[in-house]
This record gives sequence, C-alpha cells and structure tokens, in this order.
Amino acid sequence: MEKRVVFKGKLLPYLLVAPQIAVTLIFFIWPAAQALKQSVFIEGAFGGNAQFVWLDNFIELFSDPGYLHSARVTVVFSAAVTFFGLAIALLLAVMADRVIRGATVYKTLLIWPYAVAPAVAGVLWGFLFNPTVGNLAYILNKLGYDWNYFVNGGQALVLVIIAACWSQISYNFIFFLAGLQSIPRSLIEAAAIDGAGPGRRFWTIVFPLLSPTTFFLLVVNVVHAFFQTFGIIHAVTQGGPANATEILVFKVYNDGFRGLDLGGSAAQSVVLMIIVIALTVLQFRFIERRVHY
Amino acid sequence: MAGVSIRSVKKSYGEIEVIHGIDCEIADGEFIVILGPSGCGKSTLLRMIAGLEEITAGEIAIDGRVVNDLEPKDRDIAMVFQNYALYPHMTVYDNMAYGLRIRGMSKAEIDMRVKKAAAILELDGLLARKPRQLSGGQRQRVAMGRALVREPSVFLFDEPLSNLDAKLRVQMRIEIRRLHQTLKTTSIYVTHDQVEAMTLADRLIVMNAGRAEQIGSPMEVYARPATTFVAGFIGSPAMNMLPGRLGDDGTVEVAGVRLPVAAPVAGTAGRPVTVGMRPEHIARADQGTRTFDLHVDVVETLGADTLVHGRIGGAGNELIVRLPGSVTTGPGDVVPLAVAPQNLHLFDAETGARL
Repeated sequence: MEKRVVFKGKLLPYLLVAPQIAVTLIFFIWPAAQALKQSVFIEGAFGGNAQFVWLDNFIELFSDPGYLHSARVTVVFSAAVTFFGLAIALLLAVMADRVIRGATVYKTLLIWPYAVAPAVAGVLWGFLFNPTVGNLAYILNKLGYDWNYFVNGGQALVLVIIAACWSQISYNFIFFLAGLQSIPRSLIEAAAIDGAGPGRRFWTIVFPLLSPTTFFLLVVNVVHAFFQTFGIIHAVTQGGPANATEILVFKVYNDGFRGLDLGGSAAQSVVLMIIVIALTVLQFRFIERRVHY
Repeated sequence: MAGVSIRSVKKSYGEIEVIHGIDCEIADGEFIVILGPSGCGKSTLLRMIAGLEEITAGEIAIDGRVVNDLEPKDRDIAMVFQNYALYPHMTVYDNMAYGLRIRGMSKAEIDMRVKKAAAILELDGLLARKPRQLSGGQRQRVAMGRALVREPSVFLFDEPLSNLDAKLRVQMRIEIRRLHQTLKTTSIYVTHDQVEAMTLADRLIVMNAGRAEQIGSPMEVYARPATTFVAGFIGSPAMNMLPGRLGDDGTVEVAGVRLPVAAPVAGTAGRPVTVGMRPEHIARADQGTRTFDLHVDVVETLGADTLVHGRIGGAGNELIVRLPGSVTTGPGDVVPLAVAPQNLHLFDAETGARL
C-alpha cells in the first residue's frame, strides 16, 4: 500500500525539496556542465585564451596510445577488484552465516575495514609491501620472490588491487550476509532432503537466490573500482611505475592538474561520466526485472 | 515402505531438555499424527526423524536401520514443509525433478514420475510456472508432488495445511487421506489442529511439553483420554473439568451433586479428583431423571447444535453443554441436565492422570 501525502499549496513542497535540489545543482550538475563545456575547448596552461575546438579533444584522446593503455589497465584493475572483492566476500559471508558462537564479534570485525578511508588503506598496504621496510615484502623476499613494486609494474598493479579489494570486501560482505540470511532455512533443508550436498545446495539454490544481490554488488564494485580508488592509487603508486597502475580516473587528475591539459582531462571526465551513466541505467533496468523472482 | 521406530528419543539444546524421551513403534503403512500445542516439541521430533536436528539421546530406526548418524538424504524420506519451501527460481517441473536429477535418474524416468505425480495432484497445466505464479493451494500441491516423485519409504509433513484458508484446508485434508489410501506409504504428520489430527490419523501421538501424553487411535484418545491435558486438548468445545471428591459408595461429588460412576475407582472417600464431562455427552433431562441444573449465562446457536454456557452449583463451576439445535433456552433459564455414568472421566487432581 502506497502512502501519499497531498499538499494543499505549491510553495511548501518546493521549499522542502529545495535544499536537495540546490546541493545537486551546485555540486553535481554545475561541475558536470563545466566539464562538458571544457571538453570542447583547448586552454592555455596558465588559463585564459580558451579556444573552441569541437570534438578535437576526444579524437586526440582515442588516438593516444597512453589513453588506450590506461583504459586497458582500468579494465584489468576493475575486473580483478570486482571479481576478488565479490568472491572473497561471498566466501566469508557463507562462513559467517554458519558461525553460531561469537557470530557478532566475527561479523563486526569483518565490517571494520570499510571504515578505513581508501587513502589510508592504500598507505597501509603500501607500507606492508614496502620493499625496504614492509613485513610482507620481507617474507616474500625470504621466500625467494623478488618483490619490489617500485620498479615492477605487475607487482604494483597487484598491490593496488589488493588494497582496493580489501575495504570493498567488507561492504560486499554485509550485503551478501543479509542476502544469505533472507533465504528461508527450510529451502536449504528441503534441498538437503532432496539429496543435495552442501556444494550443490550452494550452486543450485543459494547462489541463484543471491543473484539480485550479486548483480547489484557487481555494478557498485565496478563503479568503485573505476572511480573511488583514486585515493589508493595516489597514495601507493602515483600511477607508476611507468604508468602500470594509471587507471582512467587517475589519468584525469594527472593530465589535468599535473599536465595542465584541461581540455583533454575534461574530455576524459566526460567519457567516465558516460560509463557511469551506462552502468546506472543497466543496474536499474536489470534490478527492476530481477528483484522479484 | 518401512516402519519407523522411535526409542527413548531425547533432545536438548545446551542445558535445556525439550523432549524428554519418546517411544513409539510406527508400523509400515501407518498414518501417524503428532498433535500438540505450539512449543510442545512435535516439530522437533519430526525434524529429528528427518535428520534436520541431531538426536541427543535414544534411537530412531527407519525400516529396521538406525538412522541417527545418517544424512537426511540417506534416510529415504521426503518432507512437506509448512511454508512449502519451493525453490522460487525453478519451475514447478524443476522443483519436482530436482531431487530426482541429483539422484542421477534418467531423463525419461524423471519425466515419467513428474508427469504421474502432476496427474495425481492435478498440476498438469502448471508445470512450466514458477511458484510465485501459483495460489496457496497449488503451491501446497507442488510441495506434495516434490515428495511424491521421490517415492520414499516415509512421508513427513510439518503442519502442511496451516498456511491455507479454512475451505482449502478441509479439501487438502481429504486429498492427503485419499493419497495415503492409494499409496499406503508410512506417513508422519505434525499438526496443532485436532480436527486434522482426528480425521487423518490411524494413530495419534498427543504431545505436551516434550512428552507423549498418549499414543492411540483417535477414538481411543477421544473416549479414554489418558490425562487431563489430552482430555482438554481433544474435542471441541473442550471437555468440562470440574473439581470433585470421591464418595464412599461408588459415586463422585461435583458442585454439591452426587453422580454415580460406571467403574468404581480405587481410593478412599474424600480423595480430591478432577471430573471431566464432554459437552456433547451431557443431555437435557426431565425432572425425574435430572442429576443437576444449569443456570444459563450465554447461548451460542450453531444451527445443528446449540452451545449453552452456564454454571452449576457454586459460582466457580462453569460448564458448557452441547444440546440439539431444537432446544430453545436463554440467559437466566435453569435447564435440568443428566450425564450417563460411563461418560464421566475421572482424573487424579494432582497428577492429572486418568483413574
């Protein structure tokens, strides 16, 4: 049953939504419009003498091997962050769902990493894996593995993936656990009587019933990997070594604020904006269809 | 097909014992109903038979094989759950076929069994639907179908009808009975509904607070309730229970009235007892045959019958009487009543056990 409040006048409802609208306009719409505008201009490095160049910024972008490299890094990075973030969280949630003694403590501890800011998480992992002082790096080197993410691009990418996954696992864990707990116990019991072992029960009953949750998290995690990992990259690798960890959002910052190519950077922002809009549309379309099974 | 033996089965959760030792031999093909109020442990007992709860002490054997340490899937049972527990993402067909596929049955065999069960349960046209597209009664049938196709040696039902409306419940009750008459599979059925229990059961296990108060056929349980609990739980409206005392000449004194007892009871005169009389066993009497008077408070007219609520003797002795619908009476009237000696039930006032 839907509850509807009917206002008599027009003034009050507009007043009530005004703060939200104002915030959206000032902090979202206006900057986005600025980015759109800037993406079709070339501007001098010290500001002023802006020149309207149509879509030249975009054309240049897609013919730039550096940008395409960054796009590939981003795909690898976000696929890895999303996959491992979801898989590990699901594993932990399934185990937490079976824990009886000390369940609250266990769950609380698993949720904590989400409270750590991405940049701090980055510093933390960067420190653990620091080739000179890091504990984990020391162990890796002892094991005969030549670990130095300052010079090895692959290792640097693995490190930022770990750091980005780590905090995201907590977030995914909460949703998976809630999803698991909303599956009626009797369904699992019915499957057990039907002869399905634990593995089979999981893949044929639990996992399909979790699919709306999984899909929601998939989109959220991709968005996270694309956009919210800036802090981690900035704190740990600065996009290096040799641009091996330069994901798109970091390149926006690098090109715009360090390279001072404001037009090119704005064009990159617009591309990211289109990606996130597409993801959002996909999510709403899909979830609306799948939410009631 | 198989019999089920329950031997001094106990269940504890930590320190707290919830089932205090139940014994019952269930014969092959028998329909057993476990009846009791909520929280009496009846579902727990069923779940122990299914293998969904561990057995703390005692033994359960199915077809002569002790199953205490067997997984549910190895016990050759099928269970119908209260909330049906249908797999929401599968079609009706897949719901029924799930267990068979896991057992590696051939496609043709699965198809044959599912079609057969669907025909019995009139689910033919619904096989391609998802559970959410079905009505409550249809879901119930699918849940039964899922148990049927497995052709297990024991069916377990955990309050399967309690989510249905009254009319459907009556209809499904008859269908379950009919199904059992055709298949003759040993069935154990848990319910808190005494009408379901009476109509379905070959034998009843009446449970209260983790104990089996009485095990017997519905008629035995109705005619000779073993305890005051059973007496009050079976029958509607419930049996009248009044405090009384044994007289010295094969009589019992209730509310200042002396009533003859059919079979004399051991015990000295003056021993306190609880006297039970079923509302339907009390009849309107003439002045000559009357044994006591009822001062009428409330009259409920049901058509075929009239339920008369009133008091006898002192203020505390309330009584319900079921009289034919033709009897007209109203609040304030005094109705002369009589009860046959063989219809008096005597229970120990302290233990509640039948005397």
